[in-house]
Amino acid sequence: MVNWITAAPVVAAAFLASSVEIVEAFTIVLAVSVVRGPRPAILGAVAALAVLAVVIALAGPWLAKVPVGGLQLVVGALLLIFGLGWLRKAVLRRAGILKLHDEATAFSSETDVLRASKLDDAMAALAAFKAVLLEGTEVVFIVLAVGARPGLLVPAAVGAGAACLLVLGFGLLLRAPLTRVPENTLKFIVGGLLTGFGVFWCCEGLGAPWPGGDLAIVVLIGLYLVAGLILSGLVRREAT
Amino acid sequence: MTNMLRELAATLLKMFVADFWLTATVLAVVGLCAVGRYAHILPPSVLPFALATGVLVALGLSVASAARR
Repeated sequence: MVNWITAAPVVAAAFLASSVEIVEAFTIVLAVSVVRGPRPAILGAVAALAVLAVVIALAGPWLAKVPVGGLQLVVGALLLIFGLGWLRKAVLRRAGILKLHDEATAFSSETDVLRASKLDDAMAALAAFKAVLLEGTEVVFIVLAVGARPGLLVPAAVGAGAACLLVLGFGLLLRAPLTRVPENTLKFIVGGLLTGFGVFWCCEGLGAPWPGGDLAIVVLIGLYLVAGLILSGLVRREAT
Repeated sequence: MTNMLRELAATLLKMFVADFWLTATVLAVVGLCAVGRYAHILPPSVLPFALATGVLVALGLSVASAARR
């Protein structure tokens, strides 16, 4: 039986993190489609999804054999590093120290590069393949990492799948880069979510459970989000 | 193919070592907590708070050092 206090943040983390990655992959696939037509773009994207599916099919049974405690410690540490990286970047962007990511600029520069390199269909498909494979690798890691406890892989996969459907649905409807997605806000929230999960998984892996059980995940996520807000405020004030 | 594998490796490296000092500090915090736990220096009731605080300090230091650069 899935505990929704744990499953809800898992679904949210997988959904939001996957949204960010899928938007980035979509921008490149769209650029390929604009330059060389939809066929190589779709072929490349589908081939990359097939490779990722094979990776998941191979990794899934192997991960199931690893003792949960050890897996949670390793995955928790990796999640901490990954989540804190996102949170740090988002805090620095909020504070105006790093430039915000702009999907429209990314789209136009990608289109310019593809036009200038005079790609044939095979090379265009390869560009789409590479984009989906690289961004998809991050999605696979996030899904496997936040679902690193028996029964949580399905909620994580549901979150990522929903993000995929939503982003692709909007993307196909608009046929334009998804510039209105608040990328930095999403990265900030996802950074907090992944950091919270990372701390929680590490403690479970070390055999030191939190008081309050799974409810601590929500408290930890809140703690890191509030800390991020305070830090960005402090750094912004110092910078001005 | 070689290029793509190289880019995949670079992506994986960027995922986990976006900032070397942040990664090193986090690994040190987790490592110290693990050593403390298995050497019976850190009681299981204190470890979660020590880890959560260590991670918070790592984030603060990393943001502060990036802001100063």
